[in-house]
Amino acid sequence: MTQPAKRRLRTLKDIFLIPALLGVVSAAGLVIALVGDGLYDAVGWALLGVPCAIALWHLLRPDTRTGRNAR
Amino acid sequence: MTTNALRRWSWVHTWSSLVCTLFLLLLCVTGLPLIFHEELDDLLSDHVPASVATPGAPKANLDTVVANGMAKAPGEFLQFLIWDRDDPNVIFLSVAKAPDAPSDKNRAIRVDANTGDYLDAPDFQSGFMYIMLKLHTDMFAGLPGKLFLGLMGILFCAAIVSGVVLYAPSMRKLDFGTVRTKRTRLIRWLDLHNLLGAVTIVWVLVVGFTGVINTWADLVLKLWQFDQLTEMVGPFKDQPIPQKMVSVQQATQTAREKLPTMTPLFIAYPGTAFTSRTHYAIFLHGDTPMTSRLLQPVLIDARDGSFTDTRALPWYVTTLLLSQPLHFGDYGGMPLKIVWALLDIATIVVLGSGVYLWVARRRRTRAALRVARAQVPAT
Repeated sequence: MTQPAKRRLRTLKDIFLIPALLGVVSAAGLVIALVGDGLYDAVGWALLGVPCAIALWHLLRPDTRTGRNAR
Repeated sequence: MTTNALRRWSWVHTWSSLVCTLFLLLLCVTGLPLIFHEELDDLLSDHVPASVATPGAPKANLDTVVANGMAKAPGEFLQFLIWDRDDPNVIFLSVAKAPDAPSDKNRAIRVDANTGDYLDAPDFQSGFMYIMLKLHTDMFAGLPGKLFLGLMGILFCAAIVSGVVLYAPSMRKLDFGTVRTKRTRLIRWLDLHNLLGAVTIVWVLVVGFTGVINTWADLVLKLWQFDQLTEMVGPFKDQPIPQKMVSVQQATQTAREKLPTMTPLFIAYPGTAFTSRTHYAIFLHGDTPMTSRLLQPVLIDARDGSFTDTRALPWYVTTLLLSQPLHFGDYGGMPLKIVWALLDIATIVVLGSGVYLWVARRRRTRAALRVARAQVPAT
């Protein structure tokens, strides 16, 4: 990715797309585990685990960007 | 967003969080062991193991269960008979100094549900898990403590909502999940705060708000007593607690016949908060994960064993009952508990980094002010 592309301002859609998707996935996980046992539980915790996995991935990923990022 | 609106949201976020952070940290830290209370209870205390039921074998007669259990509690009174949700081979007897004494200091007696034999009397009123539970629910301050923590929970929800609003200007130049590890500590922690805050929003709102609902449990019970229970009991109100009561086995049988698709979860004895002074209230529940949380009481006259009334619980009790699993995270086995713990730890980091950001920014502003003042020549 080029630097100018990184500097462009994000729209609200850009900013909230991933958090909103993670929110929907979390909510689905919370509810699905509640309505059934067995497979439902497995789907439930797996979905609720997605935000955890995404957070871990971003935390452990090395910061490869160079130079100062515009604040 | 205008600068003014931004400043206002920022003020809401700062102060709603600062006021509740200390208590929320307490709740998150004490909540962590409570997620695993079942496992830790087993680990921290030596229970006498119950017999394992052979499939299809009849359960012990409840009158035997009560007689054997109460033989070990002379001078005490049975208030509740409770089937162990986690172990179908165990029945708990909850006993107090008087039939109508408050139930919060009750002693528990475990009885084998298959043989009716006395097992042991676990101490739920002391030890590590008890301290965690008390700190988590009311900080040893009773109902006021509970309601106070509920208020902190509401502030926390305000902090989350204002945090979502502030997330937008903060992320205008960044991709989701960016952690600028090469920049100053303040920026690194801001990115961490934003990332962990963003991924936990829905979970933390659900657990936070269901926690707030749980702080109202005592009030919900009181409301139900005045509202539905009084109507169900009708003319039997204010009768003395009967000296001699009919067989609890027989009363339970009558209740099961009224609601044949449900199984009993607990029985409230006459004089307790869950029934009148003359009725057994047998609370039954369904058997799917959802309906097992929903209870329905059947009132049986303890003097003659006759059926008095049964009604589905009103919406406000149902809401409370359904909010409990969503707060406890105990409805999807061990993997769900582990995810619950991870999200709880993430929340602790969000809270801690939030305080750090406030302190660090204040320090920076003050330092800048000092520099600015030093540059103004003294007059």
